[in-house]
Amino acid sequence: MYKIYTTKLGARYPRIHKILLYMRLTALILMVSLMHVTAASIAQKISLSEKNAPINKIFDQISKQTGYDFLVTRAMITNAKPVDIVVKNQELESVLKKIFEDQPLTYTIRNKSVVVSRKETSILDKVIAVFTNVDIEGTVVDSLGVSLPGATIRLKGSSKRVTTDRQGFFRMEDVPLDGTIQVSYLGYTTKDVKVSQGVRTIVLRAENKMLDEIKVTNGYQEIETKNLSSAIDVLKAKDVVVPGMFSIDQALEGRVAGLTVMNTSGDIGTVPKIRIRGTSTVLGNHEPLWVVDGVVVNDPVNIDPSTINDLDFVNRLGNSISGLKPFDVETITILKDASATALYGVRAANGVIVITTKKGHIGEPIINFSSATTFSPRPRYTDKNINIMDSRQRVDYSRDLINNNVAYPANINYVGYEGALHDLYTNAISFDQFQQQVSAMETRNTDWFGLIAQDAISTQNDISISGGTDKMRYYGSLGAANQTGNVKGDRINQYTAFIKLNSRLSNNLTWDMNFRANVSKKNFVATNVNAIDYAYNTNRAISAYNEDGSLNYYQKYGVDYLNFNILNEIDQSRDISNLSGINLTNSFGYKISPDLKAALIFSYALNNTDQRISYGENTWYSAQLRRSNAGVTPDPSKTVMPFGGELQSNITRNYNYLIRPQFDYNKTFGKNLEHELVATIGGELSSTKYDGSAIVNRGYLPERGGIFATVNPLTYPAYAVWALENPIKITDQLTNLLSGYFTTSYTFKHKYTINFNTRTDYSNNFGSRSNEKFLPSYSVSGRWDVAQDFFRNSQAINMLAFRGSYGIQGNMLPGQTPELIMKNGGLNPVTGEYSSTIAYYPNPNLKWEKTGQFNGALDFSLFGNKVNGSFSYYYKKTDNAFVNAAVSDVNGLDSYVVNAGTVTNRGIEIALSFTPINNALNGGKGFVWRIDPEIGQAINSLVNSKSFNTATVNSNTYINYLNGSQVIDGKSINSFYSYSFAGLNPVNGAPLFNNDQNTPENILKLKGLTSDQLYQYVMVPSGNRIPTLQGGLSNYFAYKSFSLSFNISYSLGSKLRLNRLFENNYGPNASISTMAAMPEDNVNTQLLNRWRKPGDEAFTNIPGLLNPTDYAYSRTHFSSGQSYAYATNIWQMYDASDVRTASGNFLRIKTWSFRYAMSDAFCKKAGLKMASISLAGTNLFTLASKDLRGQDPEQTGFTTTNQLPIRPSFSMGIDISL
Amino acid sequence: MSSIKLKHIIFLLVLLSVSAGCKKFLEERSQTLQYVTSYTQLDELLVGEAYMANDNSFPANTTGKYLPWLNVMDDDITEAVMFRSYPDTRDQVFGMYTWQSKPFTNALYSPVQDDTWIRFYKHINATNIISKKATEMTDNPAQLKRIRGEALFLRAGYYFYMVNLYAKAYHPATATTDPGVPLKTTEFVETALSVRASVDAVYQQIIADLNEAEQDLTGVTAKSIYHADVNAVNLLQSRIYLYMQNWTASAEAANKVISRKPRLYNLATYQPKTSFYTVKSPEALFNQGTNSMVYLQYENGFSTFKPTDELMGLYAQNDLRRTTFFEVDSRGKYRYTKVYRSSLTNTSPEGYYSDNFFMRNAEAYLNLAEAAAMLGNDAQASTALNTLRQARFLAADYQPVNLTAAALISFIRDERRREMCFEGHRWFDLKRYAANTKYPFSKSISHPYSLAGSGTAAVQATLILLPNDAAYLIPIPDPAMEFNRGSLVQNPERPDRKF
Repeated sequence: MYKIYTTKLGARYPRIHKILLYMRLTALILMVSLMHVTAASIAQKISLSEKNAPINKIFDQISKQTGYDFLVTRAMITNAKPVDIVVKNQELESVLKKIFEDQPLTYTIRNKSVVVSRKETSILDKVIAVFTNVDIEGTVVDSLGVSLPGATIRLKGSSKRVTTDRQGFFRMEDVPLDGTIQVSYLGYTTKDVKVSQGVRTIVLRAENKMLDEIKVTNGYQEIETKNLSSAIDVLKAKDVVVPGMFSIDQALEGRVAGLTVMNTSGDIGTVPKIRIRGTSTVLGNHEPLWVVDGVVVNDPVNIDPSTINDLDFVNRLGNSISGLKPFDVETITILKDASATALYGVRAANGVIVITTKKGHIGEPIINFSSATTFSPRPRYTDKNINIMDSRQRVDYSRDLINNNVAYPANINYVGYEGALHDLYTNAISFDQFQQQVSAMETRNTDWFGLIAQDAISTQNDISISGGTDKMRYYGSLGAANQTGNVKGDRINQYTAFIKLNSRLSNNLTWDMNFRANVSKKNFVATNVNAIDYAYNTNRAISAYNEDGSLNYYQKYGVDYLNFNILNEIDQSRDISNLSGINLTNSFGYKISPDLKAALIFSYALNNTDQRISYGENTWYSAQLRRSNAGVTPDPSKTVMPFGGELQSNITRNYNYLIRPQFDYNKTFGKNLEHELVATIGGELSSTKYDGSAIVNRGYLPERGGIFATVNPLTYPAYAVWALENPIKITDQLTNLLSGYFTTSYTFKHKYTINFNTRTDYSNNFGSRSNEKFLPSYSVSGRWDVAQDFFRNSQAINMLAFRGSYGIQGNMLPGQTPELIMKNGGLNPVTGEYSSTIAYYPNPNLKWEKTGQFNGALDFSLFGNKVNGSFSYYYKKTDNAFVNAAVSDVNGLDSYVVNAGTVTNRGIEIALSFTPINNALNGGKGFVWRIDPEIGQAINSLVNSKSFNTATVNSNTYINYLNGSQVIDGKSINSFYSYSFAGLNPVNGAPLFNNDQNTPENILKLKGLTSDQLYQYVMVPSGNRIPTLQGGLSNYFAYKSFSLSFNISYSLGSKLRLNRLFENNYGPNASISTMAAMPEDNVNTQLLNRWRKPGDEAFTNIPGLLNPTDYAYSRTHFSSGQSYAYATNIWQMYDASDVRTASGNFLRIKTWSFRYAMSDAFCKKAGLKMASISLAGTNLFTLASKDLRGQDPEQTGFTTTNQLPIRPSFSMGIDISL
Repeated sequence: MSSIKLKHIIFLLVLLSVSAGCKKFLEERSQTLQYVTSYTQLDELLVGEAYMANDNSFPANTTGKYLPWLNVMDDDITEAVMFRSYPDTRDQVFGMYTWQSKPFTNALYSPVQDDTWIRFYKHINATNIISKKATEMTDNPAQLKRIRGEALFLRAGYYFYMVNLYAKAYHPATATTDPGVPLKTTEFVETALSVRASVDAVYQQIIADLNEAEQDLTGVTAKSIYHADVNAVNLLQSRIYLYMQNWTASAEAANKVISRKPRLYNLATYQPKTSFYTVKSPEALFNQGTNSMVYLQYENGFSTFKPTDELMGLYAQNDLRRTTFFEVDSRGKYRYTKVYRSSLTNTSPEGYYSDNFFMRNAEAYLNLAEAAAMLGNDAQASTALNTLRQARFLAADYQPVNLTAAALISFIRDERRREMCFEGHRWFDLKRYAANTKYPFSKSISHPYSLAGSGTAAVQATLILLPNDAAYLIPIPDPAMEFNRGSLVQNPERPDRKF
């Protein structure tokens, strides 16, 4: 084929048009014979035998044989001489040389085109050459050669556009020779083609089919995957979100190698704990940073790192992404290594999760409606993980206790069997009445789960509209989510709105706007009530209601015996939070030149959290403060709440803004465009402010319109003292950050990439090392596409690349300073003076904590992309980690922060994706099976720290050993210890422990040990609370319109404590401890297998009941009060012993979903673009260690209160597009 | 070209405004944190960190109180138990009251938290920092001098308590070798292990600090009794010299106090059911800290403490102190009312009055009397003694005392007991009387402990503290011993009194 280019100078002549028409017809004929040309072009040899032939005929011949286009003007052809030529199997160059020998023309070969020009080029000709236009024709096909009808071909920089016909053919007239056309087709990657490169057959690749066509974002820039040298994982929300998920962080479990998710509670609205590649700091925050559409988002309420890091802390207030609906999310990008996160500076040491929201598509508006209803069943006594006694077993157990003369402490609650017995002994009831009461109890079987919990139905409705032109694209959505919790009365109502505009204001200027708003109301039972814990632990012989249907109150001892009924408590104790947030991001892009772009982002976010925890006047909680039952006038000198109830209100407002100017340079150059250079430089100014107040008010009268009773301080001195000590607390925290960052990468021949990132931050953090503020984070990384060098023509290996990165990030603890810093205190009303305290002692020797991180990976794509995956290895080492070092307490403090720790994390990550069966290619509807296993491992250890635990009393530190909060050299962070169980005493069934003998020799040994040696002598390491390996296996099956996918997540390497056999009261106040369950407590059925007679110790490890003397002796451990104290008593030791630990390994069908897409015919009839229905669920099935006896592997016995374990859910959803 | 120029100008302008704004944007900011740059801040720090925390709350325990157990170890106190009830005020101080080998235990031998050591050293460290800062800063020399004086006075006071609690009494012959407590006077964190300075070295530090404090505070009028003035400094000086048996210096310092503040509280004017301690009292010199005696001698308590019959027997029937310092409650037992608080009549003191740290000039008269008597100046001693006693009787009942030598010494010691009971003196006095070179005195003390069931109480054990018992020294806390392993020497093992 050859093209004619016409001059644009002056008006066109009709005659020329005619000629052109003819010439185009020729071209068309040539087009048809393309296939031959391709075949011939391999030969590259030309044979001609012509006499006196017009030059255009010669061009045709050559084009036919070689596949080269000729670019020539009509004028040139008319001026050319006829050609005589005879050649056989000659090179193109030599043939052309011969042809042009006598012609007034010359030629150049450019990209399979021969451009013909006049020999002696005049200035005029040069001008003409610039403005020459051609007509172009071609075909658009997919990678298998199938033509694509309806594809759009747009001439860049003009409004000119055409579409392909049914054969995929297009023609565009009057196109500048140096222009570029853009070819796009829905579902395929848009391709730019330079006119001068030739446009005969344009192959479009289906989107996402090939790894090297995807771009990933790190929040600052988009990087082509084929040039990617960092550890970045991308998840598509539609692949990981199933109906029934209300927050995007729930979708991450088992999806990303190296990302660990831990669920502390199955309550609605609780935030899971996320760790990316282990824990690299001791005292700093362990959670990753969240970024939405390029902007870092902050938690609505500021919680200090030590609380957030506490594995037992249940966060129900939500995190930074709580206001974002999964429906609006397009992709989730996890940045794992130093190279990926370097641009975020010091805040990103724990990894970054970048969320990209959906944006509008070009085309007709599409309205999408999605609705899901989720059912989550409550716990039941029949569940296999609930092994607690029924009321008959419990009464029998009480009888046994009494028969064994178990001594109860003075202030027990007289309920259940013990209560009836107490009444009998105190002559309150007769023996007959006693018998009656007991037999009623035996069959009572109060269903506490039924009374306190409920089967929950939650709904989620979202509607979105999307559409636009290439000038303006829009996406808008509204969402409503109404969640009901498994505890009665728990609910969350959330409403969200989202608008996104992407517009092209001119050829060079773009404007993107993103607006998100959310309002939610969370209504929970106040945490203090521990409702679900009560359901788990309460004796079923106690009734909740009286025979007449009224609530049955019993006398519960706190400061006094006061009326208690859990249902009343739940009803009157509420924790209600109103949250709202808006987020507005505007970004402007300006193309300064084709290579250089400038962008300016401005973002503003506002979050309001208003939490009100209230306890009604009639609650036991209030009665304790009042020191009297409801309606009874309290002793005025003792009461700290003479009237009404209590209202704790916490208000936090969070304001954020960010301004970020950025320049992006992107140039591809070189003879064969083999050099690609990308560079980004930018600055960022961000500010986060938290404003808040917290106050506790007493005398709250909600039923009277929320007013407060006035309390006379003279009449109620205790109240007055309380009020004086509980003033309103104001928070006012402002963090300003000014940062600069730079990143550059260079790619050679699409094969070798090197990359460099750096960032530095300046902040207004008070006292943070003014003399050493400058510490840049930086990283270098590289990628080598091995396949391009060695397996270029391999069928089996489609892609094989090595990636490697190394980077350093610094971290500083706020408030550490070489100067003395004081903390302002309040005014003392008696002395009339202000007082202040020392906030931070001068710490002149502190340096940055530095985390160095190496990442190496091998990416591959094999067997026609049927097997994709990557293997990664990483090694993270934190030097100078902040730890609390001990100093002599004559310094006024017993520890202070020094850079003495070294923390290492290393691991292997494997991510694979197989498509063993794919019969659905080419638009077919066959069977597809895809399976994606992920394995991620993080081995964490703290090496060489002179660490010291900050507890001020010696007797407390063993608790840290037992619950995993002790920092121990050489051990992983969150490792915990247990007492070493040595069996049961064959004489009385009391538990025995190794190295725990109360003998003079042993005590002498204990006395000679340091506390670390001591605890490691009497305890044995039990393992780590955080899993070392977490992964998932996602499966996707599709056949015709059906698809089934499920994700199995697994977690290995963590250990946990079994729930206690019963709530044991061996707390700090040992005087009320007893080895027996309190009368109101239910106990584990394992106690049925307890030691009863000598010899039983061979079969059971459940202790027996002791006689009163032995029991009294067992209440205090012999080490209590001694320098070597390491336990409270043997009952506490038993609960914290190694027989009461179990493996936390589990395998869980985390999500599953079954989807049926309605047929096109049906949709057409119904006027819909697309419709599908789906059934889905979460946490369907869990396989865990047998030792757990059904206890949930994420529910641990480290805390005294039971949390609701994660619950299964079943959802039904519809998804309609119009 | 001009457009390019304009671009440049705009760019420069933006850059300029940004960099100007930066300074403010990055200005260090915190809600409540500040650098100490002015004397007023240092003054606030002095109040908040160097002085003991004042409070007038009376919770049903001794948590957070300063030395709640100092007055339960001596012969002025005994238990008052009818039956076990809540609260049992003996519980938290059980180990101290019964002189257990590990004194910080409750009746179940479970540990009771005691933070005296770390808390006092925390205050000492604050005084170290503040006194140093006060010499470095220059914004108000007069005020800074006062702040320094107060800080040094406080440091001396804290070391006085530390050395008398954890070390032997000052014995002139052995003081330079007896282990005292670690001395830390630097303002920075010291990473070295601690060692015990000798008793004498600690006393010399106290003297040095008090001498400087006297210079710094001379001519300064204290803002309130919650700030120390030169009278407090002189009173402490006289006490220190008394303990060191430097009688001349003690008498001299006591005379300084008396010459400036001679007036005593005439108990004839005392109003029943009010606190003896009050800001209005002409005796009041200085107060800091907390009160736990009100709780320990619980009003109408069933299991609590009371003054011993021995102590009450020391008061003449017409001695007004019998009714001013004590009250008979509805259980028929005497209870401490130097600070008057009653939940029956809803009476609370109007200010902060601690039990152990209310300094008053009556002590100066007693110090003077004792020092003079030791020097053989019986006349001067009797004058001082009689001046005090005159204010303790109705004019009609007052009879002057006229004794000499050992009898006078003995009477002064009894008078000190009558006057200063439950003010943290008796325990230290017992220790120093035993170390006295002229008139040594020691005695055995017995403390009964009853187990109170739901019925009547029955004495479970009667414990005896012999003269020179190892239990006269408080053991150094385990964390300190453990950290300074090998470097810090523990006091001799106390006898095992478990029962």
